[in-house]
Amino acid sequence: MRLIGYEYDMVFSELADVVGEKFILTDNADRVVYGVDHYWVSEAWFDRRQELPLADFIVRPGTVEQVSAVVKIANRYRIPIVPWGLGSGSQGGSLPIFGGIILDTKRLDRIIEINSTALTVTAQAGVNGQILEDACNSRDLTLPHYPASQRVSTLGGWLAPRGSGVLSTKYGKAEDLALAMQVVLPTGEVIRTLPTPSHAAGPDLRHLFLGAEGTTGIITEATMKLEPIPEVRRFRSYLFPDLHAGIEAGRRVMVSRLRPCVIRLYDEYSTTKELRRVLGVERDGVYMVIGFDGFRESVEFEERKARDICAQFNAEDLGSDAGQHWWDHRYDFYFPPRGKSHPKLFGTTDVQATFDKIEPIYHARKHVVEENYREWHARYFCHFSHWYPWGTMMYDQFLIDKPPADAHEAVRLHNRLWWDVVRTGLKMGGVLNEHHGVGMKMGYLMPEQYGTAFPMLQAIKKALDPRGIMNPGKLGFEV
Amino acid sequence: MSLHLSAEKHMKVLEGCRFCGMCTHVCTVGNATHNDANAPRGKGRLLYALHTGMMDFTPRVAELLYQCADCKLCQAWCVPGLDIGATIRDARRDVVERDAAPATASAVSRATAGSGNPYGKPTPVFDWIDKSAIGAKGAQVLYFVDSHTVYNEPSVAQATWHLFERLQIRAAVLPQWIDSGESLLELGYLEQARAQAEKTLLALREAQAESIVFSSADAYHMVAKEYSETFGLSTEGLQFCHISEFLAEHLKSQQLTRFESRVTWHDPCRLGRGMNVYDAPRMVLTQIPGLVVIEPYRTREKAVCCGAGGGLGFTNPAIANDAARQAGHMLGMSNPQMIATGCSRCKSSLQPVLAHVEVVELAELVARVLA
Repeated sequence: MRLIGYEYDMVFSELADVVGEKFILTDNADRVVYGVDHYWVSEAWFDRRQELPLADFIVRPGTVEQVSAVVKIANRYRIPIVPWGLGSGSQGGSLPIFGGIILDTKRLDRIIEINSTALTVTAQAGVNGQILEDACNSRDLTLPHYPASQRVSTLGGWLAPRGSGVLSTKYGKAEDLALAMQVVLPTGEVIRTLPTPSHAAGPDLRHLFLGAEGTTGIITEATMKLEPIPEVRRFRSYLFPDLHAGIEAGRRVMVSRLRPCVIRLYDEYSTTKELRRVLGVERDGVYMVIGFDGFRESVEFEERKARDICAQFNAEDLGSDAGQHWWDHRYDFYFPPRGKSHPKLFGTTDVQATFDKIEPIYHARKHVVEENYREWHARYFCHFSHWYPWGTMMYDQFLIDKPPADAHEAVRLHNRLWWDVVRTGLKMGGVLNEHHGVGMKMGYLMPEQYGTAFPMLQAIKKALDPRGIMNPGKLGFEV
Repeated sequence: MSLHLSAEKHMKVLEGCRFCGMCTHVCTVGNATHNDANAPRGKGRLLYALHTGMMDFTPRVAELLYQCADCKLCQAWCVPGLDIGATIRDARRDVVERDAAPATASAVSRATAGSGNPYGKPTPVFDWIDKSAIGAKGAQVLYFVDSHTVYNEPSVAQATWHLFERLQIRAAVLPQWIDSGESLLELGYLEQARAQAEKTLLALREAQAESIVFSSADAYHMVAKEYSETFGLSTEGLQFCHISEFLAEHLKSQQLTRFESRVTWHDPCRLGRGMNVYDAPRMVLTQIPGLVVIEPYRTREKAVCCGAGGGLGFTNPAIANDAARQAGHMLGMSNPQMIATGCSRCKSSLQPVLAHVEVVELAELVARVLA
């Protein structure tokens, strides 16, 4: 909705009364900056100089009480309210597609307590991820959630879409690290989930908000699990003859209950193109990095076991220097000029599945991209980066170097290709997404994913947000 | 909007920064304001939208363009080394040419035009310097006293001069005090800064000194680097050095008294990232008996900014103060008893936000221990 005339000024006055005029941004210069996130469509729209959907107000509360009061105002006028951390989500989850209020959480950046007995940190949700990690590191502790967006994301932004970090294979995803949360509900009440997560005191309230991407409330504070900085953290690279061998080796490592902090397996295309471009890897094949951390003796033992498994699948051991080089440069992939940069058309679809399904899904999705979109010379490639004892996550991507110049045509092609890929995975038992979230990009596919369970999700959303103001147009919920 | 942003180097920066954000966690201003439009990614978006005509130029745009400390921290964390601070500085030239600079920036321009210094104050009088040293030609050292030091931290200038006397260095200052033009350049007044640079350079040449020493990192960077790189002025034959480099060379054979303290060296942006001077001040500190050098959490190329760069102290003192508070917090993480630095601006910014830690300029500290 676009607020006009005195209605705009009425709402502005009420918001200003809560947070102060200084903390409401209304100029086009600020609104355009907040009108783009890391979603290809919003970036492409901006790159192609199209008019963006913008928020009417960017409101920046400094306390949870102010968040609550802002939400109540939005409720009264039925104004959309979109929570915003640092706008680095890739699914359009933080875009103000119906205007209204962007609620920027970054002034809620207080690190409340680092508890060195329980090894927990309690912080407000707007704190920058790297700044939070620095604070923990200064106490010889670490919050072992290292997403690629670590430097440009907030604690709340990690939790809202159930994000993953590079070491999730050992330490879990963001939601696994979250013990407790404070949340402002869509009606303005401030609630806390129970102090510990593994209770039998009724349903786990955390999961009403984890993965809900701000559609059921605004996460304003969280208590997260910390770890001591490990005595040793080592990485080792291997080169497999083909993808099947690499996946099978990874599966064997996981089902044998070794505890790697990371397994990252690049398919042939990624090995010969991406790793060559960014890390200077000059080898063909399928590249894998396995990392272990903890006490020296246990790391040495587990590394030896993993090496034996890889050897059984004819992997060449490229050594620990290569593995360390990958770790040291793991963020380099995300700096410009990325291999994937505008005006190219690209996307990361990502899927999670059990071990029996993941490889067939890879081949089917590769076929869909490269055969169905042959006229566009579409390419498909992936790495497998978050592993479980039952399956893995495939970070698959597509790339078209010369998409349609027309912005509308390009977006339609992007949608068609993306949905084709995702539906292929759904039909074969894959799950819609592993850690990027749903946002607006895949809301359309949520009923297909959940089937008869989706109306239940919709009912929960409706019960928590009766006026439908919280991040409308996301997760497939009706507006 | 732009005349100057069409350069290929600037487009590369804008196209890189607008969707990246991998330096957001270190942005001096962005972390102080918590506004995405202040972080490098936001600046990239803003300037791209302006440059491509998606956005009109408004007073708010001008305001945002002056909210940058040009501290180069984003560049230090950038794998391809993009420098959006330089792009912002060129964009400010456009703002100035439109006569749309914030009043606080144009006040600096007017003050320098009228009084010869950014503050509009009377020309300083060096009554603590022997008259024979004022305007003396052919000195071993010509001490260039910058405007921030002389007007805001005169004790730094006096301590520096005191060192020259104690070291029996034949030192001089210019016959007529002159500003380097550094603030003008930062604020987008390129042509006025160029004229100031030409005047200053002429005065420096006429002094015929063996070397020219600066106690301000900003002025050092301006004269030793910007004069040639930005204005194309020849500085050939002139020897420039920072007081830390001078002391590293001249303290070697000196007796220093014991000074028991845990001291953190704060690398000023223009001395470290600007002039690549990191080791000289640490060499000086480690020569002081009893003094323990504690490196801060972020140091050398990635040292935090005190918040006073990019003319921020003139145009946005509240933001500069918030940035200083953040820098003070980061420096305090290593629990020092004293913070030493090589720029009087850093001293002015940091001391008010560090209640229990003394902040000194290097010359002041050395003056205390030189027997």
